[in-house]
Amino acid sequence: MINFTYGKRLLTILLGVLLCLSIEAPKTWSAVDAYVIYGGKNKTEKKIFLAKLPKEVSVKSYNVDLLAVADYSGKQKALAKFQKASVIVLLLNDPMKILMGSILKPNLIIVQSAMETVKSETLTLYVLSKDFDISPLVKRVKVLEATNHDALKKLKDLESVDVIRVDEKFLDVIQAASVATGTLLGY
Amino acid sequence: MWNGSVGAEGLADRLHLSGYGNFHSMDHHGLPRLVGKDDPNDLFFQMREFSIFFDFEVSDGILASLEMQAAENATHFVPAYAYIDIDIPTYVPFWNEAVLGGLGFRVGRILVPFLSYNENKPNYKQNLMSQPFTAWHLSPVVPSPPDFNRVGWSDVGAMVNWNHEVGDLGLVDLKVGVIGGLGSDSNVLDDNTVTLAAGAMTPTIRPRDGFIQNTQFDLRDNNSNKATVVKLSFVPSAFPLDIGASWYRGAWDPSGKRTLQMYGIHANWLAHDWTLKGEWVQADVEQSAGTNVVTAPGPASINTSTGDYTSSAWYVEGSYIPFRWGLAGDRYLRLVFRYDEVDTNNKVDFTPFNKYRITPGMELQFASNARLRYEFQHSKLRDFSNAPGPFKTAGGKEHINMHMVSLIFWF
Repeated sequence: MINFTYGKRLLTILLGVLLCLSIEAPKTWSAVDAYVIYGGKNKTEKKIFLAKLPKEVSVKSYNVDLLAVADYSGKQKALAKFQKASVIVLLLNDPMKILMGSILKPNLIIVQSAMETVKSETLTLYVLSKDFDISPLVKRVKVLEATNHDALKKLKDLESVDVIRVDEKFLDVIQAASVATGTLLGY
Repeated sequence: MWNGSVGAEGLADRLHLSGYGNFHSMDHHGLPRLVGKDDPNDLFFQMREFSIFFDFEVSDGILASLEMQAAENATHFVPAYAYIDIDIPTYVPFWNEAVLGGLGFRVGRILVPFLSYNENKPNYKQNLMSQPFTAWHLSPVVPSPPDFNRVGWSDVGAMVNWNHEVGDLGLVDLKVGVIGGLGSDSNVLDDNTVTLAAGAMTPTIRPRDGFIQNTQFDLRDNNSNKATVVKLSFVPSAFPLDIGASWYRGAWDPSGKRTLQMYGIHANWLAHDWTLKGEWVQADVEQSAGTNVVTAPGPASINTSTGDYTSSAWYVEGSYIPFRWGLAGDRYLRLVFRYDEVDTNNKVDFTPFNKYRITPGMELQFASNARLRYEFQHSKLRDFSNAPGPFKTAGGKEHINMHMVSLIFWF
């Protein structure tokens, strides 16, 4: 058991933390370009996505399994963190299930999931392999068929595209999503 | 259309709100009547919880959080927690989050990280409205009905939270907190008592709303010997499971010499259509005082003892969804079953809190953010043959039944 006489040691710890915080000058709001959200069982896909992203893109990632051990306001706190990015990328189904019902302000790229449980107030773009069932997305009419990176690099001119269907005979869908993210961010 | 702006810096963008609430009716049969209280076997309505969570981004990596509860049938507001959260990697340049893991520091009135229920107490995160014995009779998450003044175990202190991915195996999460701790200003830890309405004989009995939160409305702890709480959890990547162990130790008396120690484990398997949950907890209390029901003069006390004693509780709960409908199957009917056991004092001949309980129930999610629940509870007191006459005279029964209907919402 820790015996803090009159809280002096607790105060010492607090002052120590404040000292650590003061080592670096206070930052201004430092938004990242992209926040990549993934489930623990999709770490491989996350690594592929990050590896293909242009080096200039500032990126953070978040394992949604953390919400299983966070307290009940953890989801709101996590969403607050994500919202400061220019684009939020949701990889496969786990984030779509765990963040169900969320409406995000930044642009949203949903990779290999046809669920519509998370939306953006601005742009929501699905990146799916060609053989993926897009029947839940029948309302989305603007579909870009992609077979190479050049098609994805035209995306800046095609911001109103709703679904990118990737032919995996020629392109890996996770890599394609990464290239599309970089393109949309202007890199 | 592509949103070209980066980040959200307006005041309104930095404030985040959500919340939940519930309204329900309860109807008990078999509880003893108490002096100065309404008959606990009368049907009653209750607005038990209505909470709003405020999260305000103070600066990059610093979040101020507050949960306000409309308590006691929404007659007044009490804060459930109020703290500042600091994301350490944002401010400490040598802490590489990708290598060393996430690290957070929280200070203020914090939610105590002990077992699973306390950090998941909103009813929309649970399958039953009633709380398990582990969170009611031992860890003080829920006060005794009908006098709810706050739901959730929070305390003033500081906590460090570290988490790290263990290769492809899963995620480890460690919370270590130093808090004021549970306690009592008397020489008995669990000194919260009510009086049985048993005619001329009026023995006291403890309502057992968990080990009592130490002078929760005072500004200071009752001793300088702080409590330590540790919770270690693991979330495997391959399964929708979290498992963990918790430990609490702190001095509870004004002299700071007598200790309460609690330890327990939890497991939650939360699949799409079925869940399996459980907690086990034991508490060891150092105590030299207390009233002996046999030898002490004056009014008898029923569930008190002299010297050290041990409390324990556990539960297991399963649920299954046989029917889903609506968009993406977000409307459903869920069937639930829970089994609970508790013994709050292993040294006494009889306590009404040495019992088991079965709780079947069902839950209808009829809207995206609203549910109706019904549950039935049947409890059986152990050692009822040792129950003293006044307990029976006041209407206390060996078997206690309860029906409960709840409306739950969140936003």
